[in-house]
Amino acid sequence: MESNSSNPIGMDVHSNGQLPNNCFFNPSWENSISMDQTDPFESALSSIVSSPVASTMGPGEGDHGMIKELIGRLGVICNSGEISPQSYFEHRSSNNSTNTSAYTTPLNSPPKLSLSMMDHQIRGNFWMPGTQFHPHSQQSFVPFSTDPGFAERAARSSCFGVRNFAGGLQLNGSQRQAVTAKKEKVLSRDGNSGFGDAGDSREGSSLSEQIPGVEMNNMRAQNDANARKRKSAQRGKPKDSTLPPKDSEVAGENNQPSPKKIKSGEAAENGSGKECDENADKVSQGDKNQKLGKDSKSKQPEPPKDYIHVRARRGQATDSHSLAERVRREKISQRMKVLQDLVPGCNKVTGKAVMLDEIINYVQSLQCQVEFLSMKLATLNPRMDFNVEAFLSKDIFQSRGLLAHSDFPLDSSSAPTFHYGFQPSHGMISAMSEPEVQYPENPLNAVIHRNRSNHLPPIDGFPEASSQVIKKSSSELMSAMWEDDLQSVVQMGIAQNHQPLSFHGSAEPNHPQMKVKS
Amino acid sequence: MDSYASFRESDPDTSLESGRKKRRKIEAESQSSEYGRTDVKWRSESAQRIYSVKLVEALQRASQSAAPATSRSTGGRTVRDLANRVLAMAARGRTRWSRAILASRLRLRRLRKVRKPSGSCSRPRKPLPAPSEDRKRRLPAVEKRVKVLSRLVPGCKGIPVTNLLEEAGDYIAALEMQVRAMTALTELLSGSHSDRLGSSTPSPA
Repeated sequence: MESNSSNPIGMDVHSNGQLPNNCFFNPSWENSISMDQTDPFESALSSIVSSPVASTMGPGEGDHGMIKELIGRLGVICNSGEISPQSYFEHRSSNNSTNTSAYTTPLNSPPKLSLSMMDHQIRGNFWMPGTQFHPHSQQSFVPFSTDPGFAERAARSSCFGVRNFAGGLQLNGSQRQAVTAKKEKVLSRDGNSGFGDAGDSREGSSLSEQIPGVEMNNMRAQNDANARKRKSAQRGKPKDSTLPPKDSEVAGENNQPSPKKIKSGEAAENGSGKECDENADKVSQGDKNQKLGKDSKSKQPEPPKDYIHVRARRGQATDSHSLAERVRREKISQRMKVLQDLVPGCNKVTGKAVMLDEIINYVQSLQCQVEFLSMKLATLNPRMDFNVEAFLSKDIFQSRGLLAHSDFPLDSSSAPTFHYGFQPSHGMISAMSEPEVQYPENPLNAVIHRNRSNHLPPIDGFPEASSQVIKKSSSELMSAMWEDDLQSVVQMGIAQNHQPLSFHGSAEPNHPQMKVKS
Repeated sequence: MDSYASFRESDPDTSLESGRKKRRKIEAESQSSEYGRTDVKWRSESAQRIYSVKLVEALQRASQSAAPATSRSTGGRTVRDLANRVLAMAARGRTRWSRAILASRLRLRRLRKVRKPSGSCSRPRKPLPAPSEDRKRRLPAVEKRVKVLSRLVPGCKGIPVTNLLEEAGDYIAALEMQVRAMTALTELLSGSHSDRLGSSTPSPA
């Protein structure tokens, strides 16, 4: 019976073109539904299925099952195409002359209202499966509008139906939310995208899971819920026992991801640490992954607070040592990922050893390149004085990026030097000297001043001035362009406070620029 | 690495992939932003230009300070060391390797001075223990490579693997920037040099 009920639904949903007979109604419902009523339902169903129209069906008790079936249909139908309201009316009128009046009134009302009415009706109907329907249930067969929002609401109502169906089920609130959220997510996304096939199948399958077929649903859902509860209990136990301070975090995660995990077979996916529970339910796999991703994402900012909350993986040891080991391994893998992006051609490489090989090779190649280029520069060095002006003018002063940073007032002492030959940019460059003037303790400043003093008198040669400007500009650029940390780093007075930079502290002014000695 | 790979493989649903990929990207970015920020720093144009300027200045000073006759200032090794030092300065001392580079020069000088009087005696070296079962256990492929990498990156000999990987990442980014800057510099200099040669004198050949 259950198989009969379930398979046709599944088939129906996926095929979107077949109409099983008497298949959508659960045994309990079938009892309440007379056979002659099923016939109009059949015809209605056939009409529904054949033409992508979610038409309403027979009155009375049949409405109950039909509602669910229609909701299931809606997902399919909406996926397949547009549903014109007119066709609704036609079918409805053709099928149920008695209900046309009831239909027309809701028709006039806006679809949303009718949907809400329908939701209420459905909910009310679902609450008591198998019971006789009230006459007002006719209103449940509201015109099914074709907008995706309707399908969303229908699915939502079906979710409510799930809750009510599975009376035996003890879906906790989080699970329900997860389910409804999942449905909404699925439907909203599909609604926006126009119900792609994937969403169709997913939704269809999920709907088939929840929709009429109470017993089937009950059984399956119960099994699922039990499995979920078992899993959560399992997972919760070791964690609770060993990691008391992490309970809040873990428990919070437990409730959310646990409903999504139904299959325990995918233990192979325990490769990850925090995003560990990836035993994906086929139905909710995507959403679960979403949520897991969100959870892990939301978890990211949390660890830095106090200590890292690590989720003990299923089947893994949960003592503190192994957890710390796992955290360490995750850190290493994270950095390996960063390195993978850095080193070209490492995307396909998997495994630490090969990755490290690639990294080593790359570092060696880079160092070789640096050596080669330094040899080249050494041969070209004598040319530097002659070419420095061209070099700088091309490379530096014409760059917008550099000049954009500076906005300081001119330094009087540097004004004459800058006027010398760098008209377009002298204002900018000399402006950079301002911050250095403020730091008399700066050895760099001493260097700069010394350079100025040394080179100011012989301002006759263009190269000399250029070199002076270069020196000054370079140092100024260095200080201005870099962040304030650099200044603090280079400054003697402040550098002494920095432990790792202690060697900066005793930099002698005799050696300008960066040759720091202590 | 494994987590992300398994994450991607486990999801067959294509319609959700875009959302998940975006989320994964954001995740990865947020994660890598902690480590990858250095990468961004080294990749910026301004950093490269600053480095070039400083390198030029240092080279000029080196060529000026050293006697023109001696080739010391323009030796390849000298230039390389100079470039490395400038690079380490560009790192602003935040990374271990940069600090090691800047401090290594001092250490070398001290060692040279110390070694001169006692140049004959060699440092007693511990003989490598024969590979036993313990050694075999301690020489997995990953460990070997970690050792090699620690030798490559300056100043990273005895640090834990996690820090080593971080330093290696920053070092690689810095090296890339250095190569780019020096390439541009050599191109400029060589280009202008050839131009000058071509313009000033007719080529004899």
